[in-house]
This record gives sequence, structure tokens and C-alpha cells, in this order.
Amino acid sequence: MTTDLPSTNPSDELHDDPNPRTPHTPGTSGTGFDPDAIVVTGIGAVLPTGRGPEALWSAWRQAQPALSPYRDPYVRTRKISHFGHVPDALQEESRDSVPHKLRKFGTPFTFNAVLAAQDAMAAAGESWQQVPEERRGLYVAQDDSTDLSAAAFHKALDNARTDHSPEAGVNLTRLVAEAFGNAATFNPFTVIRALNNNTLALISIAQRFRGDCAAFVQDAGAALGALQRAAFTLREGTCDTALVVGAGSYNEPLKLAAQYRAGHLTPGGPDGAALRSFDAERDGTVLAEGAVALVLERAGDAAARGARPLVTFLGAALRPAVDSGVGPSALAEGPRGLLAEHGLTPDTLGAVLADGKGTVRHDAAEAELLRALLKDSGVLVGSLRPVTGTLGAAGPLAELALAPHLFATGELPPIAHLRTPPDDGTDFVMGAPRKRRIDSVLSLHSTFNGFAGALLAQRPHTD
Amino acid sequence: MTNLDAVRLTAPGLYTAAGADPASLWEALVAGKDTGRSDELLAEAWPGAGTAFLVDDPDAATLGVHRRVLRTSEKQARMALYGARLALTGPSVTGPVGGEGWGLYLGLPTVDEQLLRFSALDGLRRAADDSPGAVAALYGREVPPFSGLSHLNSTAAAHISAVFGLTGAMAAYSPFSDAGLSALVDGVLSVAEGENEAAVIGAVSPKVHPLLFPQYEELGWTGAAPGEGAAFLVARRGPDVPGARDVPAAPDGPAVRLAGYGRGFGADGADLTSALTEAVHAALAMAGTDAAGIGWVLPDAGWTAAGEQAQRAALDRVFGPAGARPAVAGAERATGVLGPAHPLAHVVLALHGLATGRLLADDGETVREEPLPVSRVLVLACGARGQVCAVVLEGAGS
Amino acid sequence: MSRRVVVTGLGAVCGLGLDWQTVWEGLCEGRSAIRGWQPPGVDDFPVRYAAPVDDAAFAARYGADEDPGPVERRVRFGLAAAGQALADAGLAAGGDGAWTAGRIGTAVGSGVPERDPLELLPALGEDGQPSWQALYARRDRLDRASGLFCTNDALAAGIAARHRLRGPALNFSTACAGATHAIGHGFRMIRRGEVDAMVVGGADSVLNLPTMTGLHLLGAPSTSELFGDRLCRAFDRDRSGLVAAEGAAMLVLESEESARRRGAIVYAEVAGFGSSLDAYQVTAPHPDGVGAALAMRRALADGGVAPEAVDSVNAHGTSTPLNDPIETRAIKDVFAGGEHYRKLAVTANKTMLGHLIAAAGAPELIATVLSVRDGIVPPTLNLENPDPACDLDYVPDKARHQEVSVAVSNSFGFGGLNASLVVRGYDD
Repeated sequence: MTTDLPSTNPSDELHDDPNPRTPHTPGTSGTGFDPDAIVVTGIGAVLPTGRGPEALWSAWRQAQPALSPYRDPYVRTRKISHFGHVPDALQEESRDSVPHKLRKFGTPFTFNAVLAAQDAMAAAGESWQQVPEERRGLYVAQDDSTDLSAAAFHKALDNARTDHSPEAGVNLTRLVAEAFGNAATFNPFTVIRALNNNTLALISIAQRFRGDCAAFVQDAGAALGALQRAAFTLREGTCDTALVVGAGSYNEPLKLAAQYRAGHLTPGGPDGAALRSFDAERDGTVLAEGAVALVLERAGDAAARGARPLVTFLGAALRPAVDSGVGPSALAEGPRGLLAEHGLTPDTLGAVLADGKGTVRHDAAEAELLRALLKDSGVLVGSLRPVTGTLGAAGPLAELALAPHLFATGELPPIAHLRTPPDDGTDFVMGAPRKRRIDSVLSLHSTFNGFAGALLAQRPHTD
Repeated sequence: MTNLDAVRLTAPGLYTAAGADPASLWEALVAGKDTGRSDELLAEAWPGAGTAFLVDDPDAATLGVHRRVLRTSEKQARMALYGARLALTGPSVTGPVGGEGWGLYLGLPTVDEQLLRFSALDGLRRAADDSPGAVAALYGREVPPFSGLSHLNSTAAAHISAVFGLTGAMAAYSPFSDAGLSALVDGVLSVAEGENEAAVIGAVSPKVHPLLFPQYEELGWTGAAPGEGAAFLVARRGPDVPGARDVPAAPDGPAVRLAGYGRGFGADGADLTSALTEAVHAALAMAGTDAAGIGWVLPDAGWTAAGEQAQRAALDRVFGPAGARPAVAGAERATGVLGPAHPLAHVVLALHGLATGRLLADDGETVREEPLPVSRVLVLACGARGQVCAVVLEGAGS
Repeated sequence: MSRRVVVTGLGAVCGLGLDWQTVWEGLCEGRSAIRGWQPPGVDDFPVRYAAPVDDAAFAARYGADEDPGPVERRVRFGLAAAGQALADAGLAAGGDGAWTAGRIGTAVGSGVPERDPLELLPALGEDGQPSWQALYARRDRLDRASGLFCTNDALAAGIAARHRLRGPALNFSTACAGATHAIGHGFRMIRRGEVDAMVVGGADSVLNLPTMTGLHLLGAPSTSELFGDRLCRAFDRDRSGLVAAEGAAMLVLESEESARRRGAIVYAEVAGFGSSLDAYQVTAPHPDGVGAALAMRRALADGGVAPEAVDSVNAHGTSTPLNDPIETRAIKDVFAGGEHYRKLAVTANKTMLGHLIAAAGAPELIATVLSVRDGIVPPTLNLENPDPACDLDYVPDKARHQEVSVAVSNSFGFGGLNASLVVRGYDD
């Protein structure tokens, strides 16, 4: 499957915007060609919005959330109202994309990663296949959801249910003893399925990667780490291309219960508006699953093999976000530094994609961060969150995958469901897409466990 | 000050090497009980310091607090908390304790503990030979994380107020024996002037630690054996005073009040003697009496040669020749020298004497118990640097 | 007996100046004493800013004074400030030592002794093993000005001895509220007739490696490098901790009669004092500011002053995440009647002076006294993004000229030891 984008020729400046800003002047994209710039040449996505970046863009553009009522064979509860499920049919396609004999080593979300990887590699073009296997880097960001979930215990728990002996009930010590003595207690492939880096293993086998590799956990921070690592090894010349994959699922019962207890989840909004990022009426987030894969290479190499660069990855920043006593100016330092490193300021930035988790607390903190970072720059702020839900490791990569569409269309879609933004100082896009020339995008991420990160991307140089 | 009459001193709490109540100390003194311990460590550390009157470090269970609370305390704060507990949970306190009407006045030493264990000293020497940066790095690793609080003597006030819910007016003084009596004076005044309904008044000794001895020597220490302990009591408006709330009558005998006080300063020698003499005269005058009206004198423990001399000279001036003077005694035979807690321990002994109509007379060899001829006791504090304080305690009905 | 108590002398030594006039001028002009600082010889200590006293200038100015012998740094500052205040009050011993003001005592707030583990290196014996015997054997060679020998009442006793004061010499240990307690108790002693005058205030210096390490481990001082020397940001959303300072300030308090009798110049009147305990936690203040409110209320009641009569509050305002909103809340509680809190000019001197720890209340009371006398409220610096929970008028940026007939000054110590003073203008 190829990604079919409109021409990326710079279009005329679009001035629907009542406050036109000075177009971003060359100094970044458009000056001389930099062969060492890191560009994306292939994108694959398996997400609640469907397969591929087009479907993702389309849903975002139309403010069409891909969230649905939560369902799971093991979990019957109303407490998890919505989830960003990968559609069943697509989940089947993922499974089918994995060679039969490898399927027992994987889980549904690692299958998604394999399919996304496959699509990204195909989109990179035939000449990409010429890159020797040992020169292909593989950097995987996997979420925490391993296979040792409640599902792994199901055989043992089933036994406990039918056992009428006085010792019935789940006795953990006995359960563990059974695991040592009785193979049927647990899935025999747990040792591989439960690996945190299972995705790395599976892709490298299924897609034949023999070069430098690394696995990162977890959440959005892992994706930023994987991107940084890929850019580093490409510049070092340790590999000639790098596949960066972010994949996972928040759908693990005990983890969902913990998120629920922490008060992060929406009880379910009225009429389908479940996740209302930044809105005064917001009441929690919706968790999701999915995989995004990106083929990265040096711009010089991409040009040499005739591949079309889709977006330039400038860099990422990741910082611990310690909770108490740190004001918004301190938190804004990471993204501010990232912008400055690449000669950008909030005034010259094209667009900001905010994390917009949708909880009262996270969005309030992010609104403060945005005010501290952007001040009076007038840069537009959008968010993908209400459409995909909170994605974990796939999140930052999904936004990088959308950058080419922003550059091509010059449109920043609205933040779905947003009626009452937190303040007047920041220009949140509401209601309808805003047209403006966009040459650079800053994507912001925070995690539930105390990291804050940012990713910076730019329109690639094209002749 | 007529309004001092409205305030009663009750609920004594006393924790020393002689035991955990005033009666134990009284009996130990009369019996000549040997409550000191010879401490090898101390004797080795500081020749001449072989005996000390140590107490057990109260644990969380004894103190009635969660273990976690203790990480911001050293032994000193724990002894103080225990003293407060003995006073406030003793039989004399009936009715609720705590709240906005309950204040806290403390006499505290400084916390004299090592910031780094001895075992880290070798590493420190190497770091010091290396660079100040290496020393800084070592401190960053080795200094206990809560020492900023646990080495701060006022943290004892925070602990006591938190455990007993005291939110009234407060003060804390340090570091020598006058601090305990200042706490008594200002605690009583706070009740007398209507600022508090009740004041928890206490003082604690330092933890006996070799680090103290350089200081002591420098100040002219006589070598008197140091002791550990805490002395506490409660000042409240008396029940027989018009306008007082319904305070239950103290079950421990006739009411005792602070009848007069005087405080001052005298740097040394003649100045110190005059300051102490003036303080005593001021206290007597305030109490509406004179030297003849005093039944018992509890001078401060002799701790520096200058202080001992000044107290002797002051008592001579106030009371005249030795034969005519009231009985004199001190707790140090059974408690060691308790620093800020010493005069307050004497106040607690005085309360005991005033309640029972007895006194202790120390003739230099033994301690005898005798009838208390007049229900007035003079307690003195002579701080190591020249701060002096004298209080007159009076039993009701005098 | 109940006499009125007035302020007749001032003295200050700190990063902003070596006399009270320079310090006051600096406060009114919005100058800050906070600058880059590191412990001597160290360049990577995480706390990077403080407000130190200029050593060379101090030595030049006060070096010729009577040598106090081996004393801690803060005692030198305190003695200098006390001497300044007594001279400022025009109080000098008569030929035979009789004080024209009558019976004078002193009360100061003092801090944690300067104990440096390096002082114990002499405990390392020939064999490299540490022992107290080794320390004992070498004790004659040890530095008498070190923490091993110094006691925390050296300033109180030092002032009393140097100026031959015969009144009480009290030393208060209530952490950051120490100086305010000392001033408040001195005020009470004069009011009830125990003494005729008192030299009151405090001195402290925590700018040494061991004490700053202890404070840093508690997380109290700010380690921010985002704002350079403008990191002391009371009430601001980006505040991140206190900025330590050193120095001393003293006031001479006197009975009105005594001041009149000798024709002394009166700066202002101390009208009331109040204190309280939080009874909450050793490590944090009560979140509702109950203790802070009690201290302010008691001070007002003590002075017979109605909350609506107050024009200005000299806040404790430490720039820590906890203190500032809690203090704001307490102020709003105390001055709730008629929403009077909206009319208060609240100022945080620590944004200019830094936090003098045990001595903090003293220069702040001097600022309060001079506010009342001169009708100027010094600014709160660095207030660029006020915390939504801090919504009073903090006089940002520039000093304000307005009448201040009554002002309150707050100090809140670690562990919930609170003290407040009320100052009133004095008309002859």
C-alpha cells in the first residue's frame, strides 16, 4: 500500500486566517539541501482509525473520533467506557501479515507492529529493498503491555473455578508452583510473548533486519528515544536506513483498572464526545492501541535512490517532569531548547500538536505549559487526541506521520469537541480547520509516569 | 503582678536517670541511690567524664507516634516528647488537651550530634586532600537527608505540638539552664495575661555526646557529671479564680503558683553575682515577700566555677550567713546536670515538696527529708554565659 | 502595667547593605542582594544563588570594632547590627555605666550551630582510625571559632556583655520565626514593665557547605537556573524554593516614657505580637494556613487593632511552593471582613533580601517600621506570572507610595512555629 499524497510543491500562501503571520522564511527548509538531514520515506500505521496514514489524516481532518465502547473477552465492566480499539478486521489483517509459524510468539499488538512495519517498508519504495539487511537499523518503542496479563492465568484460574476442594481459590504460591511443574498452567510461549521487547524480536525475524537495533520502553517517551537513537545511528553511519516502530496497547485488564483508580479515564461523555481535550467540560482520557512504523534515512541517501522525503525529523527532547514545585517555565524549557537548537522560535513555528490527554489535571498543566512556551506568538495549536485516544508508544510517531499532510494541505484540523478552551492566550483550533502555511510542527507529549517530551519536524527540502 | 495569682502549676512530668516521675527522683535523692552509669565511651573520649546519668532513648511505641515521625528527630527531641507525654497523660491532667488555647514554652539545648558518622571521616580526609568539590560531593552523599530538620532544636516544638494538637501561643529558648526558667516565666505569663488558657512548659537536656565536651571545657566546666532528661509541667488558670473556665481541681494536692520572678545578665565575676542577687530580689519583691519568707532553695547545678561562685555569693547576700538560710538541695546527685532541664526539674521537685509539705536538705554528704517550714521555694538558674533567672514558687494558702 | 512601646534605633548588616539606611534605600529602589553563589572552592553545588554579605566591605567597615574573639560569622554580623542600633538610638552608657534609658536587656533569634564535619578530622589518630581520644589530645590546637566550641547564645550574651546590659539576655530558637519571636517578647517585656528597653532582632548565616547541604537535602532552597538571579519569585507560578541569605538586623525597642524623657527620635510603635503552632507536620505547614492566621489574629488582638485598620502586610513570602499560597489564604481569612484583603499592600522582602533564616523577621520588621514612617511599601520582585492561588496585591516590581498607618509582619518557622507583629505609626 502506498501513501498517496497531494503534491508537496509549496502552495501559495493561504490566508483564510484573519491574522496572517509572516510566512516562515528560509533558513530551515528551503536553504541548501542538507544530505545529513534525517527524513521519513515510508509510513505504515495500524490504528483505531484504520490502516495507513491517509485514514488517520482523514479522521483527524473531519474531527471523526475512532473511539468505541470498550469490549474485551475477559473484562466485563462499565467502568472503562471507551477505548481506541484497532478494528477487528484490521486486527485480522495484522495477524495474517505475520508468518504462520511465528504467530505463537506474538500478541495482537505485536502483529499490528509487524503489519505497520511491512506497510512502511513497502511505502519506502522498491529501491529500499536494496539496502542490505545488516545495514538496516531497527528501533522499537514498545508499551508496557506484555502478555503476562490476567489472560495468561486463564487456564489456572479456570481450574480454580472448577476445583471444589477445600484449597480452592487462587493461591498464588500454588499457582507459581504449578507453573514450574505443569506446563499447561501457562501458555508455553510466555517466555517469548511476555518479553518487553517482543515487538523488536518479531519484526526483526518477520521482516529480516540484521543491523543495529534497540528496544525502548515505554509510552510516548520510548518513541522519542527510538527516534533519537535512529537519527544518531544514521548520522554516525552505523546504518543506512532505520525503521522506527512504536506499538502497544493499553488494553491489559489490571493496568486499565489502575488507570481507572487513578481517575484518569472518562466515565463516558454524552453523545459520543468521549475525549474532550482542553474543553472546560473534559472529564478524562480514553486509552487506545495501535502501531506506527516509519522508515528513516539520511536525505542524501534517499535522494540517491530516488525516494521522496515526506518529512524531516529535526529532533526530540525528553525530560523528567517531576511533579511538585516545578512551574510551567521549567517544563517549557525542554521544547524551548529544542526549538532554539534548530533555529526556531514560537513565532516562526508552523503549528503545535498538543498532547491533550483530556483529564482535568493533565490539560490544565499543558495549557499552562503552552502559555509559558508560546506566549503571544499566535502559533496555532491542534491535537490528535480526541480522534485516536491516548496511544502510548505509537503516539509521537502518528503525529510525525501526519506532518506531510499538514505541509501539503496547509490546514490544521480542529481539536474535536472543543467549545470552551482553557484560556484566551493560546490559539486552539476549534470548529473548523485553519488554513496557514505550515513548514514546521512541534508535537508535545507527556506520560502518566512523569516524563515530558517534544518532537520537532519540518517540511523536507525538495527540488 | 497580681494576675500571676490566677495561674496554677500542675501536671509535672519528669524523665531522668532516677526514673519517670517526680517521686522516684525524690526517693532516689533521699536514699542516695546510685543512678549514674560509668560510660566507657565517654571516659575514653573525655578524661574526667567517666560518669554520666543517661536515660533510654524513647521509642515510637513509648512515645505513641508512628516510626516515620522519628526520622526528623534526634534523642533530644524524643526525650522532650516523652517528658511532655508524662505530663499530659499523667493523672493530673483531666479534660481535653490541645487546641487553640494550649500553648507551648520550651527550654532547649542545641542538637549536638555528628553530621557524619566516624566511619566516614577517613573518606572525608581524602576528599579534603582532594578538593572542596570532593568534600561537597561527599556531604551530598553522606549527610542524612532529614538532618536539616532533626538537627534543628526547634523541631522538638513541632513534634510536641503535632502530637498533642497544641496551637496556642509559643516560644522556645536555648541553650543553657536559664532557658528552662524563661520558658516557665513566659509560659505562666501567657496564661496570666489571657493569651493562652493553658501552657505546656518544658525543658530537655542535651543528649550526652562527646561533642559537648569541647564546648563545656571552653566555658569553664567544673567536670560535673552531665545527665539526660526532660522536665515538663502545665500552667493553667486555677479553678478558684473568678472568670476561669471550668478547670477541674488538680488531684495532686494544693495549688502551686509562680509568685515572682526576676531575670538578668551579668557577664562574669562581680557582675554575675549582682545580676543573680538582683534577680532574686526582684522575684522576692514580686512575690510580696523577703528572704525570711523562703522555705527552701534549689540553686542551679554547679556547672562552671564562675557560676558556682556567683550563686554562693548571691545566696550569701540574699540570705546572710549560712546558719540562717533555708535548706538547700539539688537534683544533680541523682540526675547529673541536665542543662536547660535542670532548673525545671527543680521546679518539679518544688511542686512535689509544696504538695507534700516536705523538702530535701543536702548537707554535702547526704540528703535528708525535712518538713517544709514555709510554702515558698526559690529556684535559680545561672546560665553558662551569664544569663540568670530566679523564680519563687508558692503553695496556695501562703 | 501596660506601657506603649516604640522603636528608637535600627541597625542592619546584610547583602543589600551594611547599614539600615542603605538597606532601606535598596528595598525602595527594588534592588536585589541575590547573586550567583557557591560554597568556597566548589563550582557544582546545586544551589547556585544566595545573598551573601560582602566580606571585604564588612571588614573595612566594622573591622576596627572591638574584637569579639573567636565567634561565628553570624555573631559578628549581629554585634555590628546591635552596635549600629544602639548608636542610632542615641543610647550610650553614661560615665559610670548607667544607661540613660533605664534597665535594658536583649533578645535575639538564633539558628543552627555551624557544625562542619571537617572540624572532626583531628579525631583521626596516627593509625588513621577516628577516636574521641585523638580529638581530646589535640583540643588545644582546634579553632575556637568553629562549631565545636561555639554555642548559639553567643550573640545574646555577646551583646549583653559588650554593652553591659543588665536586663535579661534571651535567645530564641524558633527557626525562621526566631527574630520575630525575640522582637515580640522584647516588646511584651517592656510593655509589662519588666525592662525599659530591649535590643532585639537576629543574626544568621547558613551560607556554609554543611548547612546548605542539609537544607538542599530537604529540598528547601531553589536550584532553578531558569531565571538567573531572579529566582526568588514569591507568589509567582514559577517559584521553586527559598534563596538563602546571611546577615543581621537589630532594633531598639523602648518604653514611650523612656523615649520621651530622653528626647529620642521615634520611628514607629510596636503595637502587638502574636504567635501560634500549626500542630501539623514537621516537614510542611498546615495546608489551610490555620496557624499563620492565628498568629496574625492574635497579634491584632494583642494590639487592639481591627483588621480593617491594616494597610500593609510584610509577608513571610519565601517563594517556596507551599508557603506562598498558604500565607495568601491565611491573609484572606484574617482580613475577610469587607474583603479588606483586597485593599492590602502585601510585600515579600525576601525577593530582594533573600531568606535570612533565623534572622529573617528582623530586617523585615525594620522594613515594616520604615514603611509606616515613610509611607512607602517596597516591591515584590519577579512577579511575572502570579499563581492563581495567590491573588492579592503584592506590589509587583516598583515600590508604592501610600499611607501606611498600620502594618503586619509575618514569620513562619519550619515545623509550624508562627509569629506576627503589628506596627503602627507614632505621632508625638
